Order: sequence, then structure tokens, then C-alpha cells
Amino acid sequence: MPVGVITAMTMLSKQLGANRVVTGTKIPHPCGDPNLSPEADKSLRREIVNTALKSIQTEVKGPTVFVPTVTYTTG
Amino acid sequence: MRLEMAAFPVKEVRLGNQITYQNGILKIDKKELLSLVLEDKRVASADLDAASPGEKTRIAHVRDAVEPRVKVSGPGCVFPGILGPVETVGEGRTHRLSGMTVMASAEYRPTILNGTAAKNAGIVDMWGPASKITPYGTTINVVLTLDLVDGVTELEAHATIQMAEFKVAHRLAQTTRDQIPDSIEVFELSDVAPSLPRIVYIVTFLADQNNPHSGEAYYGLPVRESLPTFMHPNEILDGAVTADARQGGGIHTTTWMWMNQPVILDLLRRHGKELNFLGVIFQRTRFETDFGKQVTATCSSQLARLLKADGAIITRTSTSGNNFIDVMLTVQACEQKGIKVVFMTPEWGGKEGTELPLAFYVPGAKSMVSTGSFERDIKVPAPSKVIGAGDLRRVELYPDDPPFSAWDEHTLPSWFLFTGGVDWFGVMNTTCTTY
Repeated sequence: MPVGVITAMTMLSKQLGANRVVTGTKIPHPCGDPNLSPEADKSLRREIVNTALKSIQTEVKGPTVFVPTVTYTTG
Repeated sequence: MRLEMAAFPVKEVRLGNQITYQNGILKIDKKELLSLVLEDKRVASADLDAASPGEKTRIAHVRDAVEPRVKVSGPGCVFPGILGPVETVGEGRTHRLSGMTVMASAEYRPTILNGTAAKNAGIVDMWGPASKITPYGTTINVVLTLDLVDGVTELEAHATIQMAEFKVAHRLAQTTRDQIPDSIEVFELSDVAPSLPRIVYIVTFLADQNNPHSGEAYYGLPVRESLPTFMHPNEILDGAVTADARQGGGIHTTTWMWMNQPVILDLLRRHGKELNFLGVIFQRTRFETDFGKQVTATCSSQLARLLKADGAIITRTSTSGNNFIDVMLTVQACEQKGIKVVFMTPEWGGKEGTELPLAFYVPGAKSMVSTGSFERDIKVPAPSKVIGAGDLRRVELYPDDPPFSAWDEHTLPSWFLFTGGVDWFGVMNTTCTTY
């Protein structure tokens, strides 16, 4: 079964051998950003989940990182 | 910047009617010290006692410790930004009462009940096996016991505990002001032979920006979303780096440890002899994105390169696996810039040492020094005396941990339940070896 993991710690997931790694926003909130307005947050969440869905439909050979379009408000 | 550190070693502490230091004996007037502490209306009650190495004494609810120091010449004061104005320190002469601590044991009604932002405490044993795993089993500890009034915020609780221990430590050190020290050590980053290797020390620390106090403060200001800062090591010896005084558990670095930072002291002592100590890069870690982690690693390594460092020593101050990634990326970024790195850290590895010792690794991490494991069980016998604030039959170290009686014998599951129990800077003599 193909699995995509959404995480802000992509390097760690890759090192541990996860095949499909989707870059999340931030460690405390990988699927959104409380600094954004509710509308912008919703569209960010949609972008991340869509990227995750795309990842599990993609054939990979070993750990691969899928990067959604994210503008970071903080580090 | 030339700092003369004048030592007045304390061999014995006696409670009495005045504060004096003579022939290694520090006499303490409890009444005077407590009246200083009780000036702060956020302190409901306070007491003071002393514990010496070898006594069957356990100290509980330990939040922080500090070494009595006072600036007798040169700009600023010890603990700039807290006990006096923000002024660059690290010059002139500082007097220290060595071999002792002022240790704060405190209780208050918390507003944060769980998570990394909550208060935590450590215990200190003055005898037995636990006295050998931390520096505080061999110091004479003057323990200040504080109960705070209800209604203080977490940040006020920190400030109250810190101010109380700092005021007591300052008052004790004052007694040496006109006396001749036992020894004077001079710390200075003077010009040295160009052939000596250029070494920078990157001291990484965890700053949790969402906490009331981020964990570590620079000139009294808790460090939050900050990029690395360059410091003269003498600044740290004069108290420019201080800790959250609500968190005395073994994973945290006390203010005393910052003032006696062994890597800094050792590098200063070898400066001009074996190496050229360039200074300290004080690096906040635990960014919450890989992006932020890469930015801090790039920044630190670039500072090191601009200082023309040949080599860097890197240490850390937290058991956080999150923070570990920032630090490893810094190791890698330095190596990529041609700076040789020695990375010093305790290991995970579980009780038997058979589990994964490091949470993350990079190919650039070629040279590491292990400062031991902190996950072993430790059996501690029952004490004859317990000192500390609050209910000592129900001691809570971390939120949600089952409380236990400080009067009993226990097998405790980790060294980090003891103040100073995790050895971040290689000050104790434990290590891990493969066999």
C-alpha cells in the first residue's frame, strides 16, 4: 500500500527510509499555519493534502520528497 | 578584554549572625539574607539551609543554582541586564566564592500544567551514587527555599526565583570585596603565534520561543527567534548567559553551569599555548522547519568561516531530537566550509545502550565525543535529611510524573531527574564505548 508521510522534518523521514515524504509547514502544525488568515490557511492545507494525494499516486524508487508550494511565515 | 577571576574557595559554610569569609570558612547570616529575599512581595515565605558533600542530605524541587560572584572593577556587573544595566561585561576583576552554589528550591501554583513550557525540578543528593553523576554532589550548596504567592505568572515565577538566588549570591560574594584572593586566573584572548590552530566554540542551545521564558537568556533577554550571536567567552563567565529559573531538571543547564562552562574555561586556558581561541558562537536551535534549521546552520558556519576558523567544537544543551537536527546540520555546514568539527554530545541508546544512539546523522560528522548516556536506572538510598520547598513527601519533578517521597529509597529511571544529570559539556567523567 503506498504511504505518504506529511512532516516538517523531511530530512529525518528520508533518513529513516520513508518512501514518500511530503514537506509540511512546521513541526507543531505540519498541515497548516495559524499565522495565516482562515482562508489562506485553508488553501495552504488543501495544497499540502493535494501534494500528499499526488505522492501516493506516484511510483518512486526509494525515499522521495514531494514539496508543496509553501510560503513560510516563520522559521 | 582582560578578565581577572579571583577565587575565594569555600571549604565550609556555617550559619551565624554575620556574613564573613575567612580561611575558607563562609559564615552566613540567615536573617539578613532572608530579609533581602522577602523584599519581593511575590515571595510568600523563604528559608535557608546548607548542605555539604558526604552528608546524607537530599535537596528536592531544585529549580536553578548560581555561583556567588561580584564585579569589583571594570564595566557592568555580574548578571548584566538582571542585577544592573545592560553593559558589556567580561573585563576588569570578578571575585568568586568557588566550590559552592546558591541553589534555589521553589514551589508555586503553576498556570501551565504540561508540556515543555511547564516548570520542572531536579533533585540533588549529597552522598551515594547520585552525588557522583552531577557537579552538585561535590559543591557546598546553600539552599534557598522559596514559596511564592498565588497568582504569579510563569514568567514572574522565573523572575522571582532568579532575583532571590542572584541577590543572595551577590550579597555573599560582596564579603570578599576587600580581601586578598587565594588565586587569580587571567582570561584574555590576546594575540598569539599565527601557527596555532584557530578554534571557535559553537555552543548551541535550545530556545523554545513559545515558552514564557525561552530557556536561555542573553544579558537577561530570553532568546527567541534569533540567529547565532558572537560572544567573548569572558562575557559568559560574568553571567551574560542565564537560565530559566523554573526549570531545574537534569536536561536543563543551570546558571551555575553557564558561569563554570567547562569547554569555555578549557579553551581559555589553552589559548596561546595549544590553540588560538577565537570566541563563542552562541547559537539558538530548535527551529520548527527544515528551512529554519538550514538557515541557522548556514549562519553559524559562515560566522565560523569569516573568523577564519580551522576547527570548531560544537555542543548542545537539550535532549530534544528536533534540536539535534539543527546541530547536526551545523556540523555538516562547517565541514562543507572546510572547518573541522568535534561534536560533543551524550547519547540516547536506551537502558542497555542497544537502541539508536543518535536521532539523526550527517556524513560530515566524522569526529564525535560521547559524554555518556542518561537513560540508565539509578538506585538512591534513603536520606537522613531533606531540604526543599513544598511537600517533600510528594515531590514532582516533571508534570504528570507520579510524585514520590524524597525521604525514601528509590530506583529512578533516568539520570535527568537529577539537577545537572545530563552532561552536555563533558564536565563529569562518563562516556560510552563500543565493546
